[in-house]
Amino acid sequence: MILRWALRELLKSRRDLAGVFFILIVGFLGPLLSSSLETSVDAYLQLRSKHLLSADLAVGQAREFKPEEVTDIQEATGAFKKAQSTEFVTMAKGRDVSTLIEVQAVDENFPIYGIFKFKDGSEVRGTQELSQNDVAWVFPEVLAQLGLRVGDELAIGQLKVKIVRVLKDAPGISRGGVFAPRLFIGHNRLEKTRLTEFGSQAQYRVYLQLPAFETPEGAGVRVKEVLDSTDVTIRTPTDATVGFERFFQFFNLYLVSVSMIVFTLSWVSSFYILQIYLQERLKNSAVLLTFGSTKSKALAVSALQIFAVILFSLLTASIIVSAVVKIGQRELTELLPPGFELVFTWGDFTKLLFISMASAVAFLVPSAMKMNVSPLGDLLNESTTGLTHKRTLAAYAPLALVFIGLAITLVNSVENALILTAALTVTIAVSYALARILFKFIYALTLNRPGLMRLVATQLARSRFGTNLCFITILIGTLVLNAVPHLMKSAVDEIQPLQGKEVPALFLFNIAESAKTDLEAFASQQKFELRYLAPIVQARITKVNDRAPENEMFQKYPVRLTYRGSLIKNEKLLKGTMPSQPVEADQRVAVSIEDGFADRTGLKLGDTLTFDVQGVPVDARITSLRQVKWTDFNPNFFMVLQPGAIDEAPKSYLASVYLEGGQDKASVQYELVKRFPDLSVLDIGRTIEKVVEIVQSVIGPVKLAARMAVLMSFLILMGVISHNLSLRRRELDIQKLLGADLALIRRLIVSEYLLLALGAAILGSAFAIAITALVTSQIFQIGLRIDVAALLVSVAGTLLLTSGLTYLVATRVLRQGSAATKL
Amino acid sequence: MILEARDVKKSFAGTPDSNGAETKLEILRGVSLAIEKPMTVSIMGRSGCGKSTFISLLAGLDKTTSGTIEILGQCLDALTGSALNQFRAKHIGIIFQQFHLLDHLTALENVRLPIDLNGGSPEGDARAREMLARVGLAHRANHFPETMSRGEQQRIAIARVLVMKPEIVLADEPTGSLDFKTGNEVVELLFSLVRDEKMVLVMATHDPQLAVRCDRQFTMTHGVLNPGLLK
Repeated sequence: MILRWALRELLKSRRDLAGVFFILIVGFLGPLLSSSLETSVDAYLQLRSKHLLSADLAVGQAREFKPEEVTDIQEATGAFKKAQSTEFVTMAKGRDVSTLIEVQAVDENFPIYGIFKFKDGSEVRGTQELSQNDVAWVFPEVLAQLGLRVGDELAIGQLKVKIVRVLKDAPGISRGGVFAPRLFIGHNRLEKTRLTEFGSQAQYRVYLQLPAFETPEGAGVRVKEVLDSTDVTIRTPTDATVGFERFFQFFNLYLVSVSMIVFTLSWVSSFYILQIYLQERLKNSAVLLTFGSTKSKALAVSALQIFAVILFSLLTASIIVSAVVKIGQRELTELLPPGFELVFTWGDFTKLLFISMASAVAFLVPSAMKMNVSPLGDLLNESTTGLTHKRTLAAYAPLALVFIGLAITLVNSVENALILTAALTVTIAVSYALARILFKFIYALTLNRPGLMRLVATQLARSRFGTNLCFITILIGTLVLNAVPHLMKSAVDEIQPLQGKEVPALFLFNIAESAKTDLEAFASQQKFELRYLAPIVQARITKVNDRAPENEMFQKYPVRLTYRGSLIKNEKLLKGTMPSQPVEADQRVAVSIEDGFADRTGLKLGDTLTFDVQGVPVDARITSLRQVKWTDFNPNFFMVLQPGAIDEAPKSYLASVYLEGGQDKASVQYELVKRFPDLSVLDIGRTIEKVVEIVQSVIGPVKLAARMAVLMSFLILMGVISHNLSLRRRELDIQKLLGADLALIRRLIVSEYLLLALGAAILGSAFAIAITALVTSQIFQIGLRIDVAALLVSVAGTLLLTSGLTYLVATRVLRQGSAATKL
Repeated sequence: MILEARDVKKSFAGTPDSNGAETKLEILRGVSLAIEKPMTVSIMGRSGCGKSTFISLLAGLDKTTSGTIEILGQCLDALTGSALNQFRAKHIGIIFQQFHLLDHLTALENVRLPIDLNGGSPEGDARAREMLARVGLAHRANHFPETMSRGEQQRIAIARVLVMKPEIVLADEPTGSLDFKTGNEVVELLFSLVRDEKMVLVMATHDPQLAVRCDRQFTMTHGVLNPGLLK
């Protein structure tokens, strides 16, 4: 009987609850679509990382893999596809110059993931051409530095290869520590070069495609166990994207935040409307009580209705999302990056089902408490006793808990969920407070100005929670829409500044000490600028705090040190001091560490390090931490020693080259290599392009998420405005009776919401800029750039949308007949 | 002629009878009323006799089924939409049994509302304050309706109507929600203001003691208007 009663009442009230259904459906769409995007972005990023590595796992060592070792690796990891490569550095002779080049000899299975992109716009997935011919695919620097062209021959050891293609991008990683222009040949051509016999320093790699259930990290551990060698290096896709984690983490967090925001807005709006409905239902509950029903039965009627509303909304939203995912994949192809797929999982549905059922219970608690404390007579007269502070807290506490539970479910981390919840709560509270202040301010301005503006201002200043909710919705929608463009502009402008001189064109390595003066003179003669000329001294860390280093990197690899007594342009001292005077004989050498390097290695201020510098021990103490602006793309060092300690050690130099406008980079490279054959020259422009491309590749889905969030916010807004105006029908009718016609009343309503939207959009944009400033300075350590066009478009768009929405809703509400016209 | 209603009929479609045939509910069966000069007029009748329906027709809130209503020489049927609203705003004031004040506006703002809705004017504030003072509530100008008694609320509603100085004031059971004493005070005030401003007051009431205080009395019985009090 209770179920029947509940459903009948629900059906009768379906018009009143239509707004709630709509808002809840939109609210569920938010997290379902965002989760779908998040899952898709996650999968896409993993794929991109794999493309960068060219495999799920790369195993490397300094000697050739025996066939049985390769078999063992495959068996240990369950890998069902493998590729092999050999990389080494050698001198190559060009037109009339020789220079160092890096040769990567790859077999036919390479790459497992990724494609080769060429300068002529073509793309190739396999390397059959390299295996079947004595040919090479080269990067542009090879041509520039050797003075060659496509079609020319190049000698690599005893092998002569014909240059057939110029690469724009290639999968896979190159050897660390060597900066020489790269080219590809077939693996079966390697023997012909005769360069990998007898004591050559090549790096041999096996690339693996792992089964779906295997993680690269787990597979890596098993490979080490099987090979039982300390010389083995394991690279995973995560290693391939080192440096981009912050961007990817931020964008993941952004997607989750967007999902939370949409759900929060819908949840708060639904709660607001449902509370009004439940309040009205209390009278019916009172009627049941007067006829002998128990309170729990009376409450069960409301509970069944709320559950039914929420479940129906969730099911509808899930059907919509699974349809969108199917259709969207086809239709949104242009908007999404290549290889990106929208994914809908029933896991997301289940999570939300659980959350929504918990929400239903939480929604009921305030109403149940009021029913409990109010006398029956009051309930029949549609009034309730107010709750004490303690009871109010108890009434709304379940809501807060459910909300935090939702955050944890979406974010998969308690800490981040609490931070996100706190951030959202603070944003909503601050927005609400700002709304009140703004409206009162506008009211004060119009106090002595008779007319419609004063009516509008009065309405806003005395507004109900529903109107303030509209303000909060628009503010948050504008914030979400603005956050990404400013961040993107800051990131891309940081990497690609407009003035050419601010970014170096080339890096020079292996500058011999004896060649330093000549190089400076040469630069002056060729009219290019040498900057950041710095000595490099190779060393090994033998002790950390007087103990053998535990860090694998310190155990296996040398470090590159430099020495100076002051900061350079792209550095900032964070902690400690950097002595400028050379170290005294009886002093410990001061060393300055880059803060990111310190974080990764666990080093801190005050730690002592012992370096082995070409057989000579040097004791140092970390006296300062530096922040380096790596996005300047100027060379810098993780460790900088005080002058006077290693000045006499064997060293080479590095420097960046800045060109004048109009100077040809290729011919500068050629002249450099011709004059200084031992020099390594790296084209930094290509690196910048690659970085920008990687960052921009995730922007498509993030922008999509932002636009979806804004669309859904506006749908929620429409529902709330509609409900608000329905509640004000009596007031609107009185205005009609007092002589206002429909057009005037509609103009009043539109003006009210337009003013509200203007305030919200401006504040939302300001919040977005503030948050972006915080994120750029604290997380990405880059400067803030504001995308003015995006800002103006978002504010104008918000005003247009809000006024359009309000116009439509007001027209609909005003056209409905009203009871108040009957006297 | 200030107000003239000629043979006004009003009927509504009723529910179909047991044979499914359409029925008609006749509320007014040819009502005529003519008022030439400022005066107070009462229309008495039992609940459901049609007096409220007649008041709403005089206010232009509904259309007659047949017959005409002219206010200040203007036939109401000839006006529609915003023209009718504007005409009503200028010439007709309506006082409701339930007051219908706006809860989020103060007493002064409620009184000033018709002026603001009609474009506002520099003297609007002063006029509203003056009218509020005339109903004895100047000290409550900045208070909200929920803090006032029902009598005070009705006085605000009266002030709101009279601030526009309409030629005709229509009141449907203005004391219906008030106790006897308060009702008397409100009616005294209403009569005094209407007479001072030389307006026509047409008041629907079921209270003979109230009806007898008007200059002319009518009785509505089964949709027909007859002069004199209800017996």
